[in-house]
Amino acid sequence: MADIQNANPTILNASQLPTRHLKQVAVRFGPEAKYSRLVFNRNGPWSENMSGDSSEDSDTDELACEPIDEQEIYDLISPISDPEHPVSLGQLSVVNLPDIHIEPPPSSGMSDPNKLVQVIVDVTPTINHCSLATVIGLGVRVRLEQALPPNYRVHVRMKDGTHAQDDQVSKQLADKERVCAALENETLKATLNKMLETCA
Amino acid sequence: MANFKDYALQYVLTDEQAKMKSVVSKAAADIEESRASSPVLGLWVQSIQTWIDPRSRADDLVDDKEEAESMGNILARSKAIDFLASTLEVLDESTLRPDQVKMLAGFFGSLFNADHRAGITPATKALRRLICMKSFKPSLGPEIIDNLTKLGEEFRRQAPLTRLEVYILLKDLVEDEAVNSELQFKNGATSGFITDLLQMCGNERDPKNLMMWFDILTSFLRDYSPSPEASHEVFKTFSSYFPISLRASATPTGITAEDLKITLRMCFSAHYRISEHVFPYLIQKLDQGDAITVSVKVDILQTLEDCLAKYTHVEKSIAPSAERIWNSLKYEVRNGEVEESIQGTLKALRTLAARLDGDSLKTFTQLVLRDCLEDLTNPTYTSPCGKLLGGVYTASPAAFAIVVQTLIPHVKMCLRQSKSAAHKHDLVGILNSVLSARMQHVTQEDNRAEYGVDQIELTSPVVTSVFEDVYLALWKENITGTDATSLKANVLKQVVKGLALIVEQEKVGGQILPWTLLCTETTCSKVSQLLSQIILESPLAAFSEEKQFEIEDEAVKSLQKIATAYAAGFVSLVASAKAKFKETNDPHTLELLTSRLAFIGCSKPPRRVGDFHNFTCLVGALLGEIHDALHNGSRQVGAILVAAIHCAILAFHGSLPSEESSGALLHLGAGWADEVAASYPSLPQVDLGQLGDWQIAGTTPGNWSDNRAELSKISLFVVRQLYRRVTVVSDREKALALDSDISANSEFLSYLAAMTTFVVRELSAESQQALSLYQETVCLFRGDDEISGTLVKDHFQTKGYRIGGRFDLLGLLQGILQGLWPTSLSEMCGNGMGLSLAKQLLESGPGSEIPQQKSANSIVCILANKYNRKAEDWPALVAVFTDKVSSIITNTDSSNLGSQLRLLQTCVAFAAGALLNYDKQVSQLVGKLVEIPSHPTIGLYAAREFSHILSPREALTPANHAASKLLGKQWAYTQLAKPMFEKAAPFSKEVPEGHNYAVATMDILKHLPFALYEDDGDSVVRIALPALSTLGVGPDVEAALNILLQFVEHKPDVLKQRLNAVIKGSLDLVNEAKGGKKETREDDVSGVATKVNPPVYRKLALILIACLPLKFEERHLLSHAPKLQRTLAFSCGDPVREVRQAALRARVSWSSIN
Repeated sequence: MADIQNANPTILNASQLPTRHLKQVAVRFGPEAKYSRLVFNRNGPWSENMSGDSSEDSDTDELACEPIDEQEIYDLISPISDPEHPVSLGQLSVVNLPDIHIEPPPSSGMSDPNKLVQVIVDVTPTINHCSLATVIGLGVRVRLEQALPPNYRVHVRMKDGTHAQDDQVSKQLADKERVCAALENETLKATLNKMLETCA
Repeated sequence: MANFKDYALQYVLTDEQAKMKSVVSKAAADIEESRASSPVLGLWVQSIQTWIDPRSRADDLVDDKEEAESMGNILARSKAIDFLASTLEVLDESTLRPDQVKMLAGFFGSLFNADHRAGITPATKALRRLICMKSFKPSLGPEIIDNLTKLGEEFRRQAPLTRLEVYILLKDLVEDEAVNSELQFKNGATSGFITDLLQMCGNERDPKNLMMWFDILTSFLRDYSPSPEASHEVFKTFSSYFPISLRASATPTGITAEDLKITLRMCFSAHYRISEHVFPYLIQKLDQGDAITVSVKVDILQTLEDCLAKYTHVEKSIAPSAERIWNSLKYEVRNGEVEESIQGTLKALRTLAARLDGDSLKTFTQLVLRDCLEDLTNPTYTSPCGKLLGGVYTASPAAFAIVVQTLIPHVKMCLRQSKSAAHKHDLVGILNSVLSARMQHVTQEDNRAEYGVDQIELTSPVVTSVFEDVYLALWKENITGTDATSLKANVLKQVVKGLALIVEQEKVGGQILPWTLLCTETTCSKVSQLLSQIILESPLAAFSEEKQFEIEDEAVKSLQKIATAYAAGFVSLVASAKAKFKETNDPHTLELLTSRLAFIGCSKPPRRVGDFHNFTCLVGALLGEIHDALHNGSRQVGAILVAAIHCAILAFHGSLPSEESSGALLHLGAGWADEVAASYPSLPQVDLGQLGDWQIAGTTPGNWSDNRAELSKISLFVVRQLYRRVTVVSDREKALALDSDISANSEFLSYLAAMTTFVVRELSAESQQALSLYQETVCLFRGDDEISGTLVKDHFQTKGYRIGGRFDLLGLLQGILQGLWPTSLSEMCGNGMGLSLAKQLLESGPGSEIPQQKSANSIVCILANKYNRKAEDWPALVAVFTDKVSSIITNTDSSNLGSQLRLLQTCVAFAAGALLNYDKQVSQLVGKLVEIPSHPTIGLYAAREFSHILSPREALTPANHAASKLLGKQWAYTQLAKPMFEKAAPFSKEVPEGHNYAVATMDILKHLPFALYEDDGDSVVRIALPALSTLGVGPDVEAALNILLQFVEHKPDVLKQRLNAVIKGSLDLVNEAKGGKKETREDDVSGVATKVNPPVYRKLALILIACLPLKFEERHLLSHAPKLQRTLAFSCGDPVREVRQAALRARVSWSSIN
């Protein structure tokens, strides 16, 4: 790889990244809860089922229907490693939650698996002349295509004004044939595999 | 005459340890036999002449071409000398005479000079043995050391193991008291021998040898009186290793870097004599700043602390360096960022201040105050400055008295001038720390006699002044106002913490009873009132919700501390809370308030043994409120208050020392309840309608040795009166019944029963028997009441036990029974009582009343588990249930299937209890149960009941003293599950019997450990695999998936030939179990809803699929990949997020199969 283009990027702490957990209201327990939780527990001995065994329902309650939303897309792509630095795209703010758009929006409910859903990700390079912007965009696209169902269409673009050649890069990333051709290139494929290694 | 030459030759020629041992034993025996006559000893020594003859040693000087042969000679010579050394090792200690020991010591000593290549190891070995001989004269010690030091430069060329032998010999000599005297006598203060040793050993690098070398130097410094020059030389030698580290080695020695650090540290702290070199050296190392790593800095600080703690003659050793140490250390805290080094520095400072006294302490504290007080005005340095000061005033009462006298007025001044909330927060934090330190100094037993404690008394006015001047002022400033920022909340939290600390302060001496607190009662009462406001009146509305919770939690903790120190404060809090109970309609608010009261009053152990004042006050007040609530029909409030009493019991129980954890042993007579009532007049008796005055203090603190027993006694008294309050004797029914103002199935009964179980199970088996608690199980604490002129307990004994009414009281009955030890239950066995109870529950049970039926099943389960197996009526009891199952099997009438199933549930509960106890007498019952799934009408529903037979039950937990045998589950597996294998496989939907058996098998296995059924893998998998596609979407298939997952994980070979079925079944399930929501399916027969949760099954199926590529080779999976990958891609769009995640993991796992 050539010389590092942005040797000193701003890196966010892992705790500063947007997560779903932050949005959930934490259950509060004061010092008194040490005892009151044992007593006021509605799942205690007297709420056993008919046959007397303790109910085992706690984890299954979490399995509720939730459409794929922007946060889920962010969680899929933010752990991708930057090709230059040993940190993730999320930590470098190359991918940002507000720059992910889903059409039709998840708020409209569960999507029909037979209808197309568009996922648009605007990538922000750390410097405006970054020559690795295409590789990063390709990495995001590959990751999403590997992780989303077939009715999802992925569009990866450079965010307006963040790259000297944002139009050209976005065009390259939208060109299916060029993307396929790029993925035939062994060197590029190895780079992408390295970038995607950090995705759980 | 012994032929020692032969022995020596045999020894040299053999490599077998056993033979070598035998040869030296013979040689030693021969010497002992001759009583170590000089000729014999001479022959023994001469026996190795052949090898040490100078002519043979000329071989050492041969040229390279003969090097191999020469090496052989050296080894033979070494072995020959080792023959002598080994002989000495087995020779009796008293055999040799002094002159012989001297001669041998001279001989072996000469080898250090004469034979560097072969003689050192065996000679050292021999000398180590010689110095243990009874005839060894200490005067030989210096000679041996002299001989050793002749090695000089040759020493470092020796192998590490040889050097280690020498070090061990040196250590033995240096540490020997007699040799010590000889060495000092011979060498005087100059200690010439150590100079030679330093020259010889100064370049040691081997970790094991260094440990020995450092030990030798430590002993020398500690036990000898060397001149300053010699001490300095020694210091220079060991300090050159500091800071020590250890390189990773391919051949680890077992010594860690930490071992080396500790041993080297012991050299530094060995004696105050070297303090003049040590402190400047360590400070200079420390002052290198960023040039040293954190671990090195911590090592330096720990070494410094060790020296400060161990040096004697403080005025000579430590006091002269105190200023220099302070000047260096203060920056580590003031400007330091690494917590480890800050803590290390503070520890060293604390030790320094603790060692100083008198004028040197005054000088030191003045120095600290001069540097720190200025920093207090600067918000940046306030917190580190507080830590520095804390390091000093926590060190000793004397240091506290000097520092605090100046510090508190200065902090008050800073608070007046400060504009920033963060600065105020740090300043109040310093005051809190001062109060904590004072508390510690005053209350520590060791400190009471120490010089300086009396001086603390002089600081009392300045300490008490902080309440009005600081805490109260800041409280008023921060509790109200519109600008309720997060910083202000933090200040308030510190104030709340400090208020508790100020109330807790005790007078010095603490002997002036009854009032030992430092603050006046007015101050304590005021503080208590202020803090009570926070949890009762919610005055924190201006703060964010998060901050409100934080402040409230802090207030709860502070009130807890106050309740222990100032009981009147807790009484006043409970009084205010009682008024609040009446106003509150929200159950959650009431729950929170009552549980906080329980925590505040009962979660800290009482200061005096047997002081139950807070506990009885709270329980008394709550009982009074329960009485009112039931009277007013507020059953929900009553229920919460019962739960609050349970919280208080749990909290008090948890606070008692763990050594009192054995089951409480009560020594109570028949009138125990009256005794408790007399001892604790504050406790009402709601069953008698007597409310009493809950504020009256209990008995004067006595000398109860067992707080736990006393707690159990009071708790049982409370349970007893509540049971009596909610029950009545029904003359019409000739049984007990529920009181009219209590509704069946209410939370009140539920909470009461739960509390009873806890109280009963905490009693020892002996206490339960002494109290005849088995009797209370049926009499519900009304045994001494009358039914138609007969005592209830006698009535039940003579006329037989009868469950009254509509089985409303079963929950209460279960409450007692569940906590009983099996031995306590034995009196209920054999006299028909248990049999009668079980029969009534089975034959005329609560029927469709579900809560009562649950209790009935639990009672039957407990009886089956704890019943005395030797009781006459146990076989009859088993027969009742066996017959019932038989009747269910033969009854094919489909009109009343619901009640049939409920009866079966009760029988299953009975079997569950008995199986856990590994009771083979129920084998007939179990055999009948195995037949049940083939029942034409209720077979399937009955099969599902098998999931409850081995499932965890609260009634069968070890905490509730369930009788549990190790082989119980294993036996259940062989008796229940194994007979079903053949009946279940193969099966299809068309053959309902097989289908039902498959369901039953899966439901049994899911509660068993894998190890039990792994050997029957083929049979189990033959059932589980078709189950995936045949059982349909429901809990049955979940069990099958879990079992298959176990096999994939632990024994994949079983599935190798069946991968087609595994993959097909899982895929079918992923496709079939669509739908995102959890559903409930009402069973036609039982009327009980079955939970169906399709996403769980999809997720499990996908986890199973994801595991396959990790456990099987690609060739076995390749043909399935295309279809699977397609399905997995679609599953990545599953409506449920967790399923999508499982699908993605499976997709990644299968992506490599292509």
